[in-house]
Amino acid sequence: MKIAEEVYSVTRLTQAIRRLVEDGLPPLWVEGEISNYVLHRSGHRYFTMKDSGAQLSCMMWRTRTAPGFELTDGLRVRSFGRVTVWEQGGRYQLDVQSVLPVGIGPLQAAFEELKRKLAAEGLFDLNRKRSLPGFPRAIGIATSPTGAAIRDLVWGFSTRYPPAELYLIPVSVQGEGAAEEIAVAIEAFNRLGMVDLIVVGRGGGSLEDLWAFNEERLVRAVAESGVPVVSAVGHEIDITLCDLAADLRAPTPTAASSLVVPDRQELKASLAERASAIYRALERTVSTWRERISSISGSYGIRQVVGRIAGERMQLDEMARRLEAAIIRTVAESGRRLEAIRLQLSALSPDQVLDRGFCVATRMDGVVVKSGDDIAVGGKLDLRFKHGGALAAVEEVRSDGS
Amino acid sequence: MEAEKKNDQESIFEEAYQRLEAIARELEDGSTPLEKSFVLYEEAQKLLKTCHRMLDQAEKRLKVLQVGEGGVEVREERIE
Repeated sequence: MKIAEEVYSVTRLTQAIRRLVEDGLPPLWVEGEISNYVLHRSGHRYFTMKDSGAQLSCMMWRTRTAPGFELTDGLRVRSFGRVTVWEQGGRYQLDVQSVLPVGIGPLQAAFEELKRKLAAEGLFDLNRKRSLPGFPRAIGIATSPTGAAIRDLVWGFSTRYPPAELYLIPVSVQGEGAAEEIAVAIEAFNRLGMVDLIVVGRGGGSLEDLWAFNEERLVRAVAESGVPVVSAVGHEIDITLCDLAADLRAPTPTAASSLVVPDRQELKASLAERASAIYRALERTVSTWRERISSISGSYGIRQVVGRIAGERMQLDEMARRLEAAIIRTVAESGRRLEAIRLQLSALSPDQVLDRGFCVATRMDGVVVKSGDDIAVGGKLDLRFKHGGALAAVEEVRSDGS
Repeated sequence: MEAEKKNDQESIFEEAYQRLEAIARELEDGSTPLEKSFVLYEEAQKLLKTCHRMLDQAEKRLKVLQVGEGGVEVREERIE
């Protein structure tokens, strides 16, 4: 090979090496044993892969999907990634996209493979995750009708937040066709449209038991659901692809309710707070209005009006007084006149005349006899004395004076 | 009513709960006329009753759906 004429700078040379390496080698799997594994605070993972002949430094960015198992020194693994050159460090390294323990079962390998594939499609991307409704109107549950999960979920939701309606589509959660059944249930809930949240899950179990929740059919149904999906599968440590695709992962069915629905006690407490805030606000409003009214009533304008009213009232009082006086006078006067009349009347009243021995003679036609001419001999007279009376016949009529 | 159209996903509880918040704010802003304040206060009392009633619902039911080609059957079960 000819010696190059020009002199390379370190940077230019390193860049040349980088191009050679990155263009020369495709993305690849490499197998070796892990050593000095570090999970950096930043979330990036650094480790070396070695075998008897050489060692390769590796780096896994934190944005990669976390491996489904613990990376530990001495573990034999296969890593998938691209070889790149880190210029500042003057070193080549493997940019690891996913890593598998070697000698793991086919399921684990299939799990990792599917995880990598779906992750690459962005099914697990954080920006796909939808936020859950704060106060779910109705929750659709897809799990086995028997077993602990349904009881924990239903009991958790109904006691913690009674207003949420609860729907169940019973499905099998294990074995052949389980993934299909759960996927169909999710699609049914989407189609029926009466729930604003879906919960899928089951109790704990081995990787085989939980396998339905790692099958592509179900994981895609979860990812593509229009209604937000909560995945509550197995125990704390079990992470299924369904968990990664769901909008929220509840570590277990029992933990689901506290993550999904508001708490009755907290709500009641905050209702009490709002009630007192509202009461205090009303009280303040009323008292400010009261102050406002009293301040207005002190104002000149109002005093003017009140003064005038007072003035008019005085006039009124004055008139009322005069009126009263007039009334009293008239009443007094009429009282005297009445008295005079009463005296006159009583003087003329027949009772006194009768007292003096006179009697009142009345003809049969009711006319009081005042003179001899009013009667004729043989006529009848009704005589009324002070006490009692008599019926008399006229024997003789005498003229005046005799 | 209007709220219904706006976002029918919003649960009755949430609507009442948020309305209470709005009423509290409106009453706290001093310029609300006295008459309106009383009307709002009464509405708040009704909403509070609704919210508490919904939260205290003891008897809960689980609606089990059998989804077939023909459609959906609903069977209700009491929750013990």
